[in-house]
Amino acid sequence: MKLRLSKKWFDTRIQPDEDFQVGAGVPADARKFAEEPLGSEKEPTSGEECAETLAFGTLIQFLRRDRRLTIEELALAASVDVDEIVRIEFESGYVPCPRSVRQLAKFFGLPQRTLLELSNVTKVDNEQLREAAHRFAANASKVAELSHQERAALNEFVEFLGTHDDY
Amino acid sequence: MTSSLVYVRDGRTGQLVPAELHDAILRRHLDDYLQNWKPLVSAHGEQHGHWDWERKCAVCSGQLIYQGFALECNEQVQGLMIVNTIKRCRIPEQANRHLVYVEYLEAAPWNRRSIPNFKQFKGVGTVLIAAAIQLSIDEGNHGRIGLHSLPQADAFYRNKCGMTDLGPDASYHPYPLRYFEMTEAQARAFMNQGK
Amino acid sequence: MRKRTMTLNLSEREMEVLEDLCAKKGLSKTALMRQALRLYQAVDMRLEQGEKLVFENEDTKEKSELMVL
Repeated sequence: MKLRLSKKWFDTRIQPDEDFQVGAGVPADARKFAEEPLGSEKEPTSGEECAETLAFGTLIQFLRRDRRLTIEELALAASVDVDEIVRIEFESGYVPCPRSVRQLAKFFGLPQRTLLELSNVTKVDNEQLREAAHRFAANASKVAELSHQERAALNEFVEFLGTHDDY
Repeated sequence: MTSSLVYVRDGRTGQLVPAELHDAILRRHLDDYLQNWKPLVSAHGEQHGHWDWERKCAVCSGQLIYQGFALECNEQVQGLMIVNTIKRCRIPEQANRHLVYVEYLEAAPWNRRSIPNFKQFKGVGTVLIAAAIQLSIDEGNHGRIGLHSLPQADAFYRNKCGMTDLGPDASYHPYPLRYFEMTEAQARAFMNQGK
Repeated sequence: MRKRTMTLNLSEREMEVLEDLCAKKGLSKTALMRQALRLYQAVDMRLEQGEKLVFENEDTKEKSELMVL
């Protein structure tokens, strides 16, 4: 689509003294409410479980961005639904289906059992993992490019996960 | 992907400055959003502060019914919009005809009144609405557009864009935002003024 | 966006329906076919996600499922 309007058009339409606010679309807080109709809520997750799923979501997002993949590309490569990846990365407390976790573990070359625990699919009874996940979640912020600090946090966490035995 | 030369007005100097309108939301726009825009919005907890454009784009990408737009100036994204092209009109005189429906429209936080040092650039909404109208014309919908306005933006759509205010939409659950629609004549008036 | 061109062969009946819809919607044949493609994709994506396409009668609230193959 090509917008062909003269400079004069913009000069006329955008007045120096105008002071309008813009914005359209349902406010995000309302959308969130709408997406979670009454009765469909999952069991509330404890603060600790949230920190683990947050660490899992952040880990997947960091690994994806580190490989310069879009969400769609990762979904295709790992055979996981786009929506599932979106929820894993962005929805705090979201517990993914076991198959998705296994597929992602396989794709990123990480131990399945540890990732299943981290994503809260199975119960976390490993204090070291819990601590490492909390440390990673606390140090990570979701920004576009991985900073030096984030990359260090990611490497440290991936190294830790790699030391765990798998099935 | 196509880009068009457009202009916005520098809020401090009052001068028009060239900008680029893209008919797609690119990775660099989302990176810019994540690095500069989102942290600022989150810090101020605005009404639509939690919109996550990366998530929106992930959900919409690959679906023909959606098209994204990004306005770029000074190598920074100044506004984003996603439109839907299969919705229909509600005003009786054009009922059931297709229009371009603006799903989401947002200006970068530094171009908003509610953020300190606001209004780096004025006219972001005007450019994006012009883009929606142009797409509607290109799609054979004669400039007809529709949207649900955030409450603080009602005056913009009503007074500045000359759209018809159909009042709060109770079906827009759970937040009955006002629905605005633009007729062919209103679109012509919008696009022809100052030509 | 670069556009690509194709020739579409339609039966008499299909062409009549296309022309009627174009007149009713005020769209060109190309615009209507593009609209139909978008709609088809949107419906198909929802069906693939396990959703159903249902029509509801505004007066009686009676619902009927549209079978889409």
